[in-house]
Amino acid sequence: MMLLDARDLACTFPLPRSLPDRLARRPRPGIAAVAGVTLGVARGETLGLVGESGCGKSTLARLIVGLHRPSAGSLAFDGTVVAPTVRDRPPALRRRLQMIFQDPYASLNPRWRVGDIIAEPLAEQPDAPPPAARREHAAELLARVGLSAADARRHPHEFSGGQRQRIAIARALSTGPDFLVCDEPTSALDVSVQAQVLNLMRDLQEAEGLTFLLISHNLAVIHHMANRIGVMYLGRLVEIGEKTDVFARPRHPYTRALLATLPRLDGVRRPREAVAGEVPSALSPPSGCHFHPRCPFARARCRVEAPALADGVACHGIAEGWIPS
Amino acid sequence: MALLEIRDLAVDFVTRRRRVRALDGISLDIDAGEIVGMVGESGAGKSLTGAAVIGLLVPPGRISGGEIRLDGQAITGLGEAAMRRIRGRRIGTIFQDPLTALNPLLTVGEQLVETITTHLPMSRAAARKRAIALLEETGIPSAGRRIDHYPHQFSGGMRQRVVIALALAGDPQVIIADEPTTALDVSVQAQILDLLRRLCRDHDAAVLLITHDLGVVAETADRVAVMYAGRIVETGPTAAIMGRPRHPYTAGLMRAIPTVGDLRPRLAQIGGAMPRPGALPHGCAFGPRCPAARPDCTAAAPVPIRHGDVLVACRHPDLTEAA
Repeated sequence: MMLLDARDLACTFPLPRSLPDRLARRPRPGIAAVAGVTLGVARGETLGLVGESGCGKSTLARLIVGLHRPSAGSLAFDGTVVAPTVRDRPPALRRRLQMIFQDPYASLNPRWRVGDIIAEPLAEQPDAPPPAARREHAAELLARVGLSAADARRHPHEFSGGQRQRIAIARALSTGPDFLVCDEPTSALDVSVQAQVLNLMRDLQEAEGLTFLLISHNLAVIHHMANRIGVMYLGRLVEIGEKTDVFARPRHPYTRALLATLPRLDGVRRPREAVAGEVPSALSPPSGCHFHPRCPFARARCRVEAPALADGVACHGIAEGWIPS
Repeated sequence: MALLEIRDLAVDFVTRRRRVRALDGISLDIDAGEIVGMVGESGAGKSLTGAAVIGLLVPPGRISGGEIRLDGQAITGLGEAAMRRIRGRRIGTIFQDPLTALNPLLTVGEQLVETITTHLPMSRAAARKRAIALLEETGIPSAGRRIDHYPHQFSGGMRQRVVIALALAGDPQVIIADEPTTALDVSVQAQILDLLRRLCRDHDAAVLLITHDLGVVAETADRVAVMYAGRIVETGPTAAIMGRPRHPYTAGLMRAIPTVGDLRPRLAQIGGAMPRPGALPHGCAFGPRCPAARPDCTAAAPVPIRHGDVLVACRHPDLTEAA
């Protein structure tokens, strides 16, 4: 059974309406940031979610931890349907589901001491241990993420980006979660520091049996960390599967295009097939399959009908067999 | 003789209380038609090098040693007026964020025409024709119509093409591209790098490509300069450096990067962090983090030593190769 199960999860952000539209009682326009995503995350695995900016991966992360209210769909955690927003979720659930944010310069309160930052999620629990025990716990967490217990008395500005991300990880771990949503945890970091943080995440996962939903635009990071991979494009999940399958035999034309853009480090230059065009605006997504204007295989049906996710891929051409796999 | 020559460049930040050396002994040649990639982590001094070349160091930063020669002529020490004639005309620049590089209140055409007429003796009508030609060259479809649009009407990738067209407006010999694809999505990144490579060839320009992304350098640059703590630690042909890094920092950086197809469960990490300018350790700046450091590494900063086509600032490159 999946630890986390999202069914047709959608999130539409409303846009302002012009006065004439209001008078004519036209429906309020919206951006469909996430448009019906169904996926499951098994206990102990890392599901990597890739996609370019604006594809809805961060919104999906926020829907899962309950920072946005979904406009449709449902979410089940450990077999139970959960409330849409974090406010309505019971503390016992909140402590099991935590998040690490992208920017460690924005996600830590600059006025708080690191020890207080780390202990806060615990202090919010109804059965919170007394302050002395929380301090001890914070010191222990700091040691676990490779910092020292004495760092608890310092403020975030005294730490480098990589150290701050360790603090953010310690905070996420403070309630003893089993599911961590990591939204671009290393994209604000330099590569040598990125390696430290990714290794730490791996070690923690092994030691504590954590389950990760890892969101990144960096395919190499996803390849390094994930067991399974989901590819998003303009609010929809277009392909999902085992890492080795997706990288060895990408099926969706967008996944193929993404993989073709991967740079190699050996300094041997290969011709890269650059994907034509850019991701269209989510304000006015293309009809039918969102990828059809950039797809070399698109046919008439792709322009009118959105393909459903079947057997791990949402593509008419794959389903009907006219795209060679 | 290379088109752009940087010799022993040093940049200091001088305040009343102290003097901090931010760049030290930077030497680099870029030939016409060549792309040299400058890589390093944040704070290594990559952008500062670019700023020094175009004479846009922000005070209290200033060039305190060395020389920059453009086509044989020294441009360090030129006054602001003379630098203005070089900037945009003989050295073009492309910055990271296309949204801040463009004026949101002027159409793309107005900005291009202004830049062209500033640098080239042309009428506005001729400049407009050149502007359209530049937009076409950088791959903007229906350039004749798009020229009258404002920056916000372009997508991120198209905006970066406009910025590149602006950099080309004065027909420069040298192009400084500072993180030109960092703000772009991966599928667009490949397009812009292809464009940069084509322009370098067609215009026979010398390109300094500044980036934190080794992948970008591997794909685009003919030669690489790896920077660490204000110094160049290794320079040479891209394939030679990527295939066989000799400096322990380059080697560590390459092993720290996850790549597709690499099945190691753990990445190699470089412990610690890069020292800040003004707080450099004695001797080799990488010494305290170096897995192969020897007692003599703290003696003095190592001078670059030639190994074939590659210059390495390390006393014990053999230890890195053996690892």
